[in-house]
Amino acid sequence: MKRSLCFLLMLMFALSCLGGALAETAEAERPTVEIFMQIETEFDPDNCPIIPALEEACNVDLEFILPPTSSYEEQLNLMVASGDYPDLVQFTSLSAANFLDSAENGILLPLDGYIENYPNLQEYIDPASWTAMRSAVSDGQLYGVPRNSVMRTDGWLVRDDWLQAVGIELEDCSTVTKQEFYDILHAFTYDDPDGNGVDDTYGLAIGAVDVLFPGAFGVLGWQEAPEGSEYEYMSAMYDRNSSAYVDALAYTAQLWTDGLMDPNDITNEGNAYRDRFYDGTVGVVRMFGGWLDTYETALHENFPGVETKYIVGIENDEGECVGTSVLGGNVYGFVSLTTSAAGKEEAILGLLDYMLSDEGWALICEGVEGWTYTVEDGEKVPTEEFSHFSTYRNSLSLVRRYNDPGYFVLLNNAEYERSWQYIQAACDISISTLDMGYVPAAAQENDYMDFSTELSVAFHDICIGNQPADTWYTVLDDWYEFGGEDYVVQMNEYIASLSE
Amino acid sequence: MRRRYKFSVGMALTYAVLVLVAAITLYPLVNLLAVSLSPRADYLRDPMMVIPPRIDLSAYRMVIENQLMWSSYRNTIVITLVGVAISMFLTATAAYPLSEPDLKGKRWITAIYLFTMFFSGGMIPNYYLVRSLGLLDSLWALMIPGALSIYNAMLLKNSFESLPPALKESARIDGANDLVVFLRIVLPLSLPILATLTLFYAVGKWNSYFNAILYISSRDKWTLQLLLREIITNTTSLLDDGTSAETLPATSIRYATIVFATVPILLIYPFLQKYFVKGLMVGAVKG
Repeated sequence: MKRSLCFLLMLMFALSCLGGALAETAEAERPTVEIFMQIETEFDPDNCPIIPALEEACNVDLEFILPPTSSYEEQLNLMVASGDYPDLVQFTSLSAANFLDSAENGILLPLDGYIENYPNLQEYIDPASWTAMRSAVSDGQLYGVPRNSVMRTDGWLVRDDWLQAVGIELEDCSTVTKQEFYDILHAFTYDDPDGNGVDDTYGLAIGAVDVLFPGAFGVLGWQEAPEGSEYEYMSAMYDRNSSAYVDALAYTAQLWTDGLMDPNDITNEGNAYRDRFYDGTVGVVRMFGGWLDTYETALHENFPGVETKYIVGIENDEGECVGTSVLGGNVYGFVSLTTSAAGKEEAILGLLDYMLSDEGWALICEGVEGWTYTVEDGEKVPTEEFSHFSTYRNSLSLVRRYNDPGYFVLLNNAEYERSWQYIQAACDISISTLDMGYVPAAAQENDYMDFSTELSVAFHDICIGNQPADTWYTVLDDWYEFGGEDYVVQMNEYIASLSE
Repeated sequence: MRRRYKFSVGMALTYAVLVLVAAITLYPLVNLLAVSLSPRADYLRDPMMVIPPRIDLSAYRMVIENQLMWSSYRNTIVITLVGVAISMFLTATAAYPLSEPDLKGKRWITAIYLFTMFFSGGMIPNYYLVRSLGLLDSLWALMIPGALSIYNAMLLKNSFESLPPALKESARIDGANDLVVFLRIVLPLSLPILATLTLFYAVGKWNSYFNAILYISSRDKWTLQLLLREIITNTTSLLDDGTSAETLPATSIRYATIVFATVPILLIYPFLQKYFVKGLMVGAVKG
């Protein structure tokens, strides 16, 4: 009896030791992935439940290197120069020297042999962005996993109370003609829409001096050139044989010279133009559909209960509303594996693949149940923590599903349905450009860069009406002379190579 | 006898101009404080306010609740205190020997020091140097590189040279060695200049930003200025696809952050200022 008991105890002891050893071994085999990325200061990896959830799901340990976003490029350059590479690095641009040099100097791992094995990466990442990634580096290999955004053309939010005050009817989430848009801005500027008897309002604020809705004039980025054109592909901005861009400039200049634009747009930094909408200075403001709740909340601080409507875009002469996204190739940053990640490729790509899976995507979009939301009657209800999470949510998603505009309609968005409707409308009118965000080497030449300043000055002068719009033809001739010709040739070669 | 001040138009004009200049100088600070204590709606109605219509401490609450604010503050205080101590030690010990007329090779040593004032390796070599010393991502990288300012050392050297040699000679006659002379005679008599240089170093360390960008990557080692810039600027501009509604914190939060970061140095300055006007050389030399 005693011997049996001793034997049993010894067996139990041996089994527990073996189990512990196995657990230690399993833990020791769990790879650590070091991620170099930029994200808002509100993100604390030690206190974000999403991180342990990702680690458990993907069987990895995650460590983060989070440089200040205000000096991210400097830190990126230093990291590349230092020789100490984290496993996964987030780059910001396909044309950035730090990425191109890293790829060409063998710091980054090519992913061509791996990427096909990850179904979610294949299904949910925009095929155009894979093309853009492959064509960025001269050897044609894939050196990163792109992060997509929403290919869309943003419209404008309009004060509905002002529309009623000036007697203009507008259907929500609709398009308008050029004249209708002008009439709205004119009424908002000169017809005292706020009824205070003071001439203190403007029509539109967009936060920059830029051509307004170029799609209405057939300016749609790099497309197949019209018949008889010198080149196979052309952008109306550089087409000496087309008046489309000049017409777009003339329309914009008309708004400026007639005083319909907020003059502070010339000097406002960042998103300060929105304050002009919030404080009742302008009645129309550029807006991404997902911002609706934010805009209305801020507007209601000064003007409680005021309603708004959304203009999708401006129609062209054929009555169609078409726009292009500025997201060339739909690549909004991307992550690359460095040579330090050798041996961990599957773990890292598995992590990215998981983020796009149904389970992982829900985690990225909504957080963790009990932390960012609770479930009540089958519905997800955001908690207070969701607001905090939403400040860095967009940055935390190293990869995104390109065909899911709903990503940008947050759980705590009080205008969930309207936001979705506006974003979808902005997506529906967008067409892709052929350039994939490519920047030809000619753009790095001294003459080209020197002339770019003059081009920019001339552009701004024309936009605000200081010079007639057809001055653009003269500027364009100079542009061609100072490297623009090479730019167009190289762009044509690049676009042609994509179809090969 | 009480001095009687006679009113004159000239004096009145002078005071008026001075008051105007002071008001212009102080206005941005007052506006900063007022906006930081105001809700956004009030700021939008009157961005140039001097007196906030109502007090709202939510911006300060958000600043105080930001964990990074406290760690950055701690790091900056540590860097300032320890860094200034290191800098003053190096500056004083570099300046004193150079102030002694008997130092052999004084001209050459001074020339080498001055050379470094005009020429340096540059940013990349300095980075590699710091990396090779294992100081990357460490607060020491913000305290040791550049700890000795040759300009300040030369200032201090000149100040030491201006002290009466009789003081040091009398101490040496009494048996004091160089270290005793330095610690007991020279340093106490140089308090005003030492205080001035301490303030220069302290402000420099407190405002240090670029070195933090170069050498610090961990958030728990960020300095206050680094965090300040992060909060104030549009922090996602590099990857801004226009889908993040609030990439820029409200103005009141930005201003509250500025107030929170700069008030301490503003409060400390008056206590150091008195050393600029007082001297300790009363009755030190007799005969």
